[in-house]
Amino acid sequence: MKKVTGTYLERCRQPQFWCLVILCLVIFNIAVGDNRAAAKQSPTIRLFPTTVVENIKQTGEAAKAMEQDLQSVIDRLNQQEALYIASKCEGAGAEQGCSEIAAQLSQTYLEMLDLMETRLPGMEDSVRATNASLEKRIRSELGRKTTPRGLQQVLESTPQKSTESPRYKRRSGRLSEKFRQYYKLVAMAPRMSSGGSLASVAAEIYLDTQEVQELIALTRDEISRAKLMIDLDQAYGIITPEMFEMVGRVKSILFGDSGEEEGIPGPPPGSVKAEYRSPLEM
Amino acid sequence: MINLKNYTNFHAKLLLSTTAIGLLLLSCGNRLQVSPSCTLPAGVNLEEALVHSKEDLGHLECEVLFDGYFERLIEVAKRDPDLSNKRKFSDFLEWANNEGIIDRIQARNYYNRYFNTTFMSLPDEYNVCSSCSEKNQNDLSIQLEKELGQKEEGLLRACQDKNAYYIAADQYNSIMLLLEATCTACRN
Repeated sequence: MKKVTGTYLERCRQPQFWCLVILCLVIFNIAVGDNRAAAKQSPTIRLFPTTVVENIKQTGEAAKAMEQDLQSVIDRLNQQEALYIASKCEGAGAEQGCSEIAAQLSQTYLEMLDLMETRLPGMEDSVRATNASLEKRIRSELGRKTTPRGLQQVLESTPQKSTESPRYKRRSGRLSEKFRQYYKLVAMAPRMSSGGSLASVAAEIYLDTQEVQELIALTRDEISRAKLMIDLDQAYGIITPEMFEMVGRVKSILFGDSGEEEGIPGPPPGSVKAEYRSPLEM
Repeated sequence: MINLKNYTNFHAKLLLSTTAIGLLLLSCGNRLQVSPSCTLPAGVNLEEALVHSKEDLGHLECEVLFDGYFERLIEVAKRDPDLSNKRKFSDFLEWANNEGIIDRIQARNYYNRYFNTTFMSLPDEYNVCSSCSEKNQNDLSIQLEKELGQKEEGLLRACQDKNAYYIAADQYNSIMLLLEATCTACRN
């Protein structure tokens, strides 16, 4: 026992021993500090893993393909519709000129319905896949990992926007263009970002795809009904208001709502840093 | 005869002294029952209104009216707007906390609702999914809107801090979007 104690005391007198002790203490303090800092930070939100980004890309591509196919048909429909209205053919179906225009309109309309019937299921699947994958991420990352106050902290954690990154602004417009913008935003952003802007983008894409899904489902039902009517020869050669409504709906899916005027721009964002910070601030 | 006179004198003296003591006690009692008047501040000068409020709130009877005093101070500040009003309100709330009139949580609540971009209406105890019943969502939506109005009064009107208010308004829109999307995802 005396021998052991003596050896221990000799060691304590050596400066190397004390250097080692101090080094251990420093490392320990750093480790504890890091843990506390990590605990204070909000959890990392991962909303856009590779699968979701790919889904968004595919939805954009599907929308683009459908738009390209339908563009010429819808242009023809628009011209024929304009001619029908300009010729005041409503209620004048018996006239030869009007009946010819009505026949052409019906034919083009049927062509559009066939194209839609072919393309919409693929589009719906793609939108559904994007919606489902985002729903899962939003539910787990935002719904279960954060509190409502935490959502605001996620928004506040967005770093100051640099002049290079464009400010995202929600627009109505072509579906393919919208998804192209979404893809550009999420593909350029870092994968493991806790940025609030990505959370807002995720929320917007999710709600948009929800709306598009519902619209597509309604349109598919309407297409089935319209084709049935034509098959039964009840509406063939007759232009009905439902036809125009159908064309309008297709246009709104593909090209968005038209004519939304830009409001008066709001004031530019000011400096985030307040001059005075109260100790009561949360 | 002399005994009777002495007897009468004694009782008269006793009666007089009792009456005097009684009146003395009553007057003391009346002085204790006189309460200070808790008058809400008025005018257009915030400093004077704060001094007036501190004087009144120093009395126990006026403490229960703290909420009314605070709202009136906001009204005065709207007529005397300045960026330094934020600091004045913060100091006032810290004074109230130190005096024991309000606790720390209340002080933070008052300050952040009116003078900070943080939305105190957002609960912080449970996750978002657990707050997603229809009733909770509606209530939260109403509370958030009310709080945005309070920030407008505090930041924009009382302090003329437009930047901070616009940030709060922007965050309000983003929070509503996030809540709608998250709750929809939670329910599906």
